[in-house]
Amino acid sequence: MRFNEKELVSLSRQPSERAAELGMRGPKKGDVVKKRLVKLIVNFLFYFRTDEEEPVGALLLEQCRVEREDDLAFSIAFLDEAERKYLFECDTQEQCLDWIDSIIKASYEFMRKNLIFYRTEIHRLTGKDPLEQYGISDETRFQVNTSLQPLPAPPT
Amino acid sequence: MKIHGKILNHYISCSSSVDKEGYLYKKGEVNTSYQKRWCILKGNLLFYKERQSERDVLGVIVLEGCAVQLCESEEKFAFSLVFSEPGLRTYKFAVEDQPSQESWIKALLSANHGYLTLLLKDLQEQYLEATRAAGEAPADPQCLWGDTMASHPQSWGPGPGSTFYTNPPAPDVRDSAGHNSQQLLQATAALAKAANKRSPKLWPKRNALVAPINCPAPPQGEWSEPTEDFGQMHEEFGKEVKELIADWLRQKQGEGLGEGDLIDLG
Repeated sequence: MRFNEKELVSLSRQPSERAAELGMRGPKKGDVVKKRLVKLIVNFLFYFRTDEEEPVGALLLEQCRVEREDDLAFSIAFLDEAERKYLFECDTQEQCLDWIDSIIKASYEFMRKNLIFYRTEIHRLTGKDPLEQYGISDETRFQVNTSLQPLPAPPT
Repeated sequence: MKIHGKILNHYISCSSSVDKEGYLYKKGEVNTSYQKRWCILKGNLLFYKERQSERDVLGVIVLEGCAVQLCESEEKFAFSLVFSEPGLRTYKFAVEDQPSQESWIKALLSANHGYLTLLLKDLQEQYLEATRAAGEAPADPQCLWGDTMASHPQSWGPGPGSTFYTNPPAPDVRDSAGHNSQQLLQATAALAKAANKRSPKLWPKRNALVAPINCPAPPQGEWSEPTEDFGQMHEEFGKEVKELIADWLRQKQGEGLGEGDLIDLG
C-alpha cells in the first residue's frame, strides 16, 4: 500500500502527546526487546532508534486492544487475523498506566464513542442536540447506530 | 519508515463505518493525468482504490498537517490537499459537481485529529454543565460500555481507574495537539478578528486552511493566539468554505468559462 511517507515522517517530528524511551518487542517469534524512543502523536505510535531522525516505523492505533501485561509492561494487539502483539516495557508502574491511558484515548473509535455518549446525554438532559448548533448532526461518524445491522422483520 | 500495511488494511476492511466515500479524480504524481479513484475517508486517513469493487487498496494519504484549498486547475470543481512543510506534496483532486466539492472539502477539513479532540472537549464541557444544571452526578462514559468490551476492540485493562471525563484537567491543546490542530485553532482566531474588516475579495493572510487560489499558504509562525473554542472554530469554517466557493464560482462565471466536459470520461 502506498502512503505519503514524507508527510508522515513530518508528523513524527511534531509535538507528541507522550514520548519516552521504552523497551519494545515485535510480534514475531524470535523478536527481542529493543530500546526505542516511542512517540504518541494523534493516533499514531512512532518508534525511533535512539538518536535517529526518521522513525523505524509507525503503528496506527485503531482496531487494537491495549492490555496490561505485568507491573511494568503493556501490549498492543492488532485485531487482524494474525492478532499480532507488540510489547512495551516501562520504567515505572505509573509510566505504564499513563501510556495505556493515552494510547486508548488516542483512537478515533474511542473519541467517537465518547462523542456519541455525550451527544445522547446532553440531548437527554437538555432536550437539545449539541451537534445541531454546529450543523454536523447528520454526519455518519456521529450517528449512534451506524455499525449496527437492522433487525430482520419479525415472522408474520 | 515502515507503515505496517496489515494494520491499515484491517482498519479499512473491518466493519466499522466509514466517514465518506465516493469517486474522486486524483492527479497522479508520475502520470500527471487525473485518474478516477474510489476514495474512502475513515478517521484521518484517505484511502484510494482503483474502483469500488476492487478489494485491494492502492494507497492511503494521512491527513495530518495539511490544508484544504481550492485550486486553479484545468478541471472544474478541483481542490487540493497542501502539506505546508517544505519538500512535502500537494495532492490534487477533482469532482463532478459543486455539491460534491463542498461536501468533500468539508469532510477533509474536519478529518484531522485535532478537530475531533476539540469537539470532544467541547461536548464534555457541555455535558458537565448539563449534569450540574440537572443536579445529576456526571458518569464516566467508559464504565457504561463495560458490557460491550467483548465486542469492541478497545479494552481498558486495569487502567488508571480513569475518571478522565469526569474530573478532567483541561487538555492544553497548544502543547499536546498535533501540527494541524495548531493551524486550526490559530486560523480561527485570526478569522474571528479579521471577520468584520475583511472585504469579500480579500482574505486574511493567516488562514492557510481554506485559501483562495492565488494566495500562497502563509509561513508558520505568523499566527495569533489559538482559541480553544470549538464553536467559534466551526462557525468560521462553515462560513468561509461557503464564501470561498461562492467567490470562486462568481469569478469563473465572470470569466465566461464555457460549458462542456473538461474531463473526458471516455
